[in-house]
Amino acid sequence: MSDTTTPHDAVRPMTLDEFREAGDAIRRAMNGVIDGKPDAVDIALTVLLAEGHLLIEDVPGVGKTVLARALARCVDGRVSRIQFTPDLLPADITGVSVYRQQTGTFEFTPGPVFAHIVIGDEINRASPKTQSALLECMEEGQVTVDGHTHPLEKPFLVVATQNPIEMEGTYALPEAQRDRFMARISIGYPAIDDEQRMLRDRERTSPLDDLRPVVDVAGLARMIRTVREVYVSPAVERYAVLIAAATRNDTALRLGASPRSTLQLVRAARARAALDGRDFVVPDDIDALATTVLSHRVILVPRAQHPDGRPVGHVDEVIERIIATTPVPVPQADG
Amino acid sequence: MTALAPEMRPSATSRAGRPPRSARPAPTAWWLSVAVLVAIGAALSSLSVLLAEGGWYGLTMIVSAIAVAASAVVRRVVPVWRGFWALTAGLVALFVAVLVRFALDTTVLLVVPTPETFARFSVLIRDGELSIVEQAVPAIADEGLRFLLVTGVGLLAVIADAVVAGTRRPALLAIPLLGLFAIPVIVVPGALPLGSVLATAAAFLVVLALHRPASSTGGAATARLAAAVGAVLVAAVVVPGLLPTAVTGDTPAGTGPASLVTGVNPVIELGDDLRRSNPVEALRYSTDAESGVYLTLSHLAVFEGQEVQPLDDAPGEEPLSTLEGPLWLPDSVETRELRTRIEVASLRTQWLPLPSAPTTVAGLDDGWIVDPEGVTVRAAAGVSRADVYTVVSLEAAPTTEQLRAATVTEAELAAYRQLPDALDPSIQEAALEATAEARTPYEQALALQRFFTGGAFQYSEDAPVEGGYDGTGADIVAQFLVERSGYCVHFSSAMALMARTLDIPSRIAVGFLPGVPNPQAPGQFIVSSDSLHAWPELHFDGLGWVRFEPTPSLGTIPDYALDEVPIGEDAPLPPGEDEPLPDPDTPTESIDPVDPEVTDPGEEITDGDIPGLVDGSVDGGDDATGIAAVLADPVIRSTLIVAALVIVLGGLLVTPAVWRAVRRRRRMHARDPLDAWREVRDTARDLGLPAEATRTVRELAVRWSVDVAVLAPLVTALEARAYDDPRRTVEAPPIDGVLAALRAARPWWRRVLAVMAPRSLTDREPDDARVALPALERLSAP
Repeated sequence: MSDTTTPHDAVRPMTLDEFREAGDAIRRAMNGVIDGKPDAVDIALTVLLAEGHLLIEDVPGVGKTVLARALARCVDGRVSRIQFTPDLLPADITGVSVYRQQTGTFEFTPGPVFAHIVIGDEINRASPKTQSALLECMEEGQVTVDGHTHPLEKPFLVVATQNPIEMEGTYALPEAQRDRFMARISIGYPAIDDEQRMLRDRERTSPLDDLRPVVDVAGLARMIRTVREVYVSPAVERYAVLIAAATRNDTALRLGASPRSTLQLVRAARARAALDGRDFVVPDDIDALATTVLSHRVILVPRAQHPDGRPVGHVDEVIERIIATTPVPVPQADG
Repeated sequence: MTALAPEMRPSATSRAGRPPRSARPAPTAWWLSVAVLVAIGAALSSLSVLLAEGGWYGLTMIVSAIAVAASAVVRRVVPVWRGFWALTAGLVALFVAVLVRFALDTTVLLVVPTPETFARFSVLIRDGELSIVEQAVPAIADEGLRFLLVTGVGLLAVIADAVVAGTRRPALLAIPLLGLFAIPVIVVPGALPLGSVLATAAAFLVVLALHRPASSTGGAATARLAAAVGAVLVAAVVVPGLLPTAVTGDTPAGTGPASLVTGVNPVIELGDDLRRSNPVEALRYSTDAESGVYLTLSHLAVFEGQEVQPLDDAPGEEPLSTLEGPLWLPDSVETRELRTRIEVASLRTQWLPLPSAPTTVAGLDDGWIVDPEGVTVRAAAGVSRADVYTVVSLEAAPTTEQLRAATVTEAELAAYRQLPDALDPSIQEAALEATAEARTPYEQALALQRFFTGGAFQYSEDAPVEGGYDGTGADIVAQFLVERSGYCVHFSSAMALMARTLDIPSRIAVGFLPGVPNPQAPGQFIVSSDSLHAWPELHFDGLGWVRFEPTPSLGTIPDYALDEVPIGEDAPLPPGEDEPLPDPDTPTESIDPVDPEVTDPGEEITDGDIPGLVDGSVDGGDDATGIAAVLADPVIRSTLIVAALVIVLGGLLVTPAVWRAVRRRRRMHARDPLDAWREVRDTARDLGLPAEATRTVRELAVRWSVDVAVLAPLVTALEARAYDDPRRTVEAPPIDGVLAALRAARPWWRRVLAVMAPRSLTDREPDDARVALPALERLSAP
């Protein structure tokens, strides 16, 4: 838990092979815990490496918290977990200044947000005031208490879970705050076989307990540095921009994707490219991530319809349609 | 991109539930079919330079419209397999329409064909083919031609409509249009009417503009249509000024109104038949005469009006069996019986070609009648066709002494001395001047002949047309005597008219020159359509009608009509120092039937001053005449035409394939992976595989179901080239394996289609970055 102040820019990036090895190791470890959900694991890893934050939205009991904890376990860093409840206060997250009689001074006691990976369970149970305290930390990477600014750990990942079913006594995240999360995923129910295997495995012991860290904080910082080096060509940038722009003009959407979402889409695509062993992004990276990155930031119009008249069942359909109809730029050959 | 293989599976999170992309064209609207029909009609109008009359255009368009309309209706009504049913309906409608028009009386219940119907069709097809071979342009669209036209153009229209409506490549319409244009271009080079070309181009552009994807808005289509029409208008104004006149429809020599002497008066069309650029074999004959014989069709004797006319008070018309031979030949004249067997090859005329003074004709049916006045035979009604017949005729050989002694006073021949009412006095003056030294009618006749053949007159088939005095009337003769340039009808009518001013009875005979000996069959002569000829015949008391030959450099002069001048060996050329030789370089001579071919080896003809021609002429001559003789053979010529058509059509067919191959070659030699990718993608598109611009490279690779290992090097290279840091250079991997794998994955007919009609040549989509740019601009607009 060393060295929380190492500036990223000073970190030596990994080679692609090292990176992929490390990435595969994390994937393997997590897939050992989360049976049959490789896509969710990949997204979680991508978000971690792209310096984003992850929102896991699903019904209770499908493994949201397990996923978050597994990710945290894989990284040999400081992990904290906040169970959001209606009576949780902002100071319970950020920390408080406590008066020390011995010294006659106020001393800052850091809250749980001062960790490399923060798991925010059932974030929609807390009051908006508390929620926004966390979200400010996520955005700014620092905490200001009593006029003093305390930088957060680096790398810093918030994995928040949210239960979309329960409505009573919850405060759904407003659009502006959802925008702060790089990606939203649903885990979904496991397949029959996976669920059966899980029964057998969990009978004896919790696999989480067996999970050993596969990368330390310094290694993670190097991986993040590697991701930053991934090249994004103008053609791919344009492709990302075209997709985001298309969401703003789509008749089925009341609110389109923000410029921040474009930024995060490209950033996530970098991580995906690096995990794939490439040092450049291809349009397929954008395609693969656009739904995950954009769908929680756009809002459907009431009774939204596709251009062919079919009703829109889920916002993902709209994003997928936009991906499917946006031309993929290929540069012209010189000759 | 070392981990390509797993990625090439479509990701569940990104691709699930994507709406299907439909590329099916929307049902075609009526107006597209109408535009196709208009384009076909415009192109068809170019055939007007070939077909003079016969109501062919309206009939063809009506039938085509019926067929296309049936197609269009079915296309709108039928829900599935639209293209197939529409095409079937169009073909059935075409068949029924043709049935009703051409063979209604052979059908059962108006539409059910019987074996008789198909027999009728085959007769019509044969008639049409014969018409094509035999008729000069512009031809008369007889029933056979109309049948071929209606059927062929109807088929073209139905197929063109199906292609335009059922595929995404309306430009293919150009193929039938070019096919229609090819006909006039091949038959009459240079006579393509500009109006037809422009109208067709306009209609074609309209089709292209109207044929649009369903998503296009009306405004865009209107704009495109307006642009297309504007372009055509500009072209219509600008282009004619830039074109040489030959292209702009000025009728060149050889394409004037004509057909092979089918009219009432053969002389009217004779000049046109002589000028036709594609002479055909008219007939061949074998005879026991020493040399070839002149074959007479008809006689003309009345000089009233613009043209010489036949005697209209010809006494009676009698059946062929009454033919008894000429009554005018007295016993004093030595005659010899000739037997001539004539095989008609392609000749459609009212008259039967006969040697002079026929006594019996065997081998004809009852459809022929005899005009005893001139002893000619013609069809009882309309144009008829004789196949093979044998003629026995008398060859008269009056002696010079008999001719010198003959008078020209026979009273019954007043009609042959008749002069037109307002005869230009210059004709008589010329006649008197030319015959000033002649003492007898025979000497006068010889003097007249010498007047024309003496070198002062030139043979030209075009000069009268250009000079505006083409014809045979008395006024024209006067002008001809001034211009001194013309062809056989001018010489013969002038001599006949001048003879009448000297009170010698005269008439003009129209028929064929003796033709050329057939090298394959000794004793046989081949007469082509450009051997048509006219010559004067003068009547001498007690000797009958005597042929003269005033046309210089043409035909043969009979022994009795020879002047007392030194005589050469073979050349048919008349005396005269200035006599122009047949010159292959001058256009007038190039189709001149002169040539040594018509030389009669047995004939003793004038002028030893023309060496070279004398010898060269005997064995059929120099290369030019050899080629001309070969070309004169209708079989060879039609073979050549068919070969040319095959080459042109074949060229049209393989053009896309060649173009595509050139493009492929260029791309495969390029080292840029982008070029390699374009080649692979276009090949996929040619094979009917998806290649939308909205799919990434990997998605397409997945959809093509080609072995990942084959495609991976290319995908890797392309992605690096397209999306990696441009400072890195990437070499294109060889793509032959990829192309082969793509082809192997498709059925054989797709592969054939990919070669013959590669859609990547016409289909602009996908358009890569060019699509992205306007899309971005549109989206970022407020």
